[in-house]
Amino acid sequence: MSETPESALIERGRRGDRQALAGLLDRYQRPVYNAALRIVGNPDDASDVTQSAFLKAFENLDRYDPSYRFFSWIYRIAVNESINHNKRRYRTHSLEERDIPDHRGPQLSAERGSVSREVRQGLMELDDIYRVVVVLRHYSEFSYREIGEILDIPEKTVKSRLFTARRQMRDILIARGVDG
Amino acid sequence: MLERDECELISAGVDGELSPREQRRFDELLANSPEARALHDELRAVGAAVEALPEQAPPADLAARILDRAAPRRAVVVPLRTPWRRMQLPLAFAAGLLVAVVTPRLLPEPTADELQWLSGTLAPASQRAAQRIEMQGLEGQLNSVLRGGTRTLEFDLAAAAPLEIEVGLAGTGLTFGGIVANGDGQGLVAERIESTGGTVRVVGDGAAAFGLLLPATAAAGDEGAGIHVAIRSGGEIRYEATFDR
Repeated sequence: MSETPESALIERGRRGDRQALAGLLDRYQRPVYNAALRIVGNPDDASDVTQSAFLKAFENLDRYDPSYRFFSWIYRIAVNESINHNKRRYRTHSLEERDIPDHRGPQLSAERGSVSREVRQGLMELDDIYRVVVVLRHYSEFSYREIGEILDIPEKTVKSRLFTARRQMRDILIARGVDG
Repeated sequence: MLERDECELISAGVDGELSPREQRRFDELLANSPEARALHDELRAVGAAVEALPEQAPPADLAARILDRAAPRRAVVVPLRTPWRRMQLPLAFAAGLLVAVVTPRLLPEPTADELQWLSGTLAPASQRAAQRIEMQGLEGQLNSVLRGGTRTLEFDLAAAAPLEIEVGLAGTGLTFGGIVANGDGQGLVAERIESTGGTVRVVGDGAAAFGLLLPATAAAGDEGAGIHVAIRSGGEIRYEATFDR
């Protein structure tokens, strides 16, 4: 059975067709949730961000510009929601309440758990502007042009941020005992 | 020691984002510089480490929760009975005597008759921002008023050509709660009122005097977007502004 074209789902979604909205969720919920998870750092917050992003997208389907990919558009909303979420969290949490990055050294880190955990926590040590480009490139596999569109920044800024982000991430991973 | 632009070139090379000219420079750099090769390998390893993070399944009920909370998106079209006329709305609002045309958004199970009329009195204004509009082919007043916690946009406009008023509520945390006019027994007049996808459109002839009720949605948080108002007449945007929610 052939898959309903995305444009048809969007058009029907604009008219309030719940099946069409469910179809869009079915296609994009998982990647959006996983990108949010990598940006906000925990599953509960990633669920909130995903929910909020899709609700905003559905509310604004009339304003969706089909010259862009829907995938890029929903990502743009989700990334903004994630960054705003992090800003709110850092504003409202005291330093003591925040997750403090763990720099207990390679040996102890290796004892604590998997490489994946270290990479995930290392990612959270990056500033939002760097973490987002790493996630969009290395999880979502967007091109520089698409990342620029999603973040509303020039491609050369994407290029520069990605270099800085990966350089910082390398130092963080070394500090966490993860060797390339 | 590699220059910053050489480092960024190598980084972009890892991503396959080089022009043919950059690619030649990249190839030369890697062929001639052990430092460049080492950086290339490091950056590639970092990317691979992030890409190796396992995907997680979203909570099983997340999609259902989102669908449950998605606002009903069917267009609300309020049929109106008499032609649009200019009314002395500010006086009527000051008196607080209004007739409300209530859409299905205000009533859980509306009947056809309930789409037409209810009479009532609005709460007095606790906050008001007024904008005088005087431009070619369009003049009048637009007020953004807080009444008992509910934002209302009040229009009193006259135009040389038919008017189309569009109010964008996306990201404001507000929704379309109904439309009100002064109660002189003649009723509100417009050819068409639609609310869909966070946008309210009112279309009519060259005069408009009404208020839009914009209550906060149940899910409203600290959305920061303003209320976007665009007024078209004769096929052109004559006025555009954003009001604080």
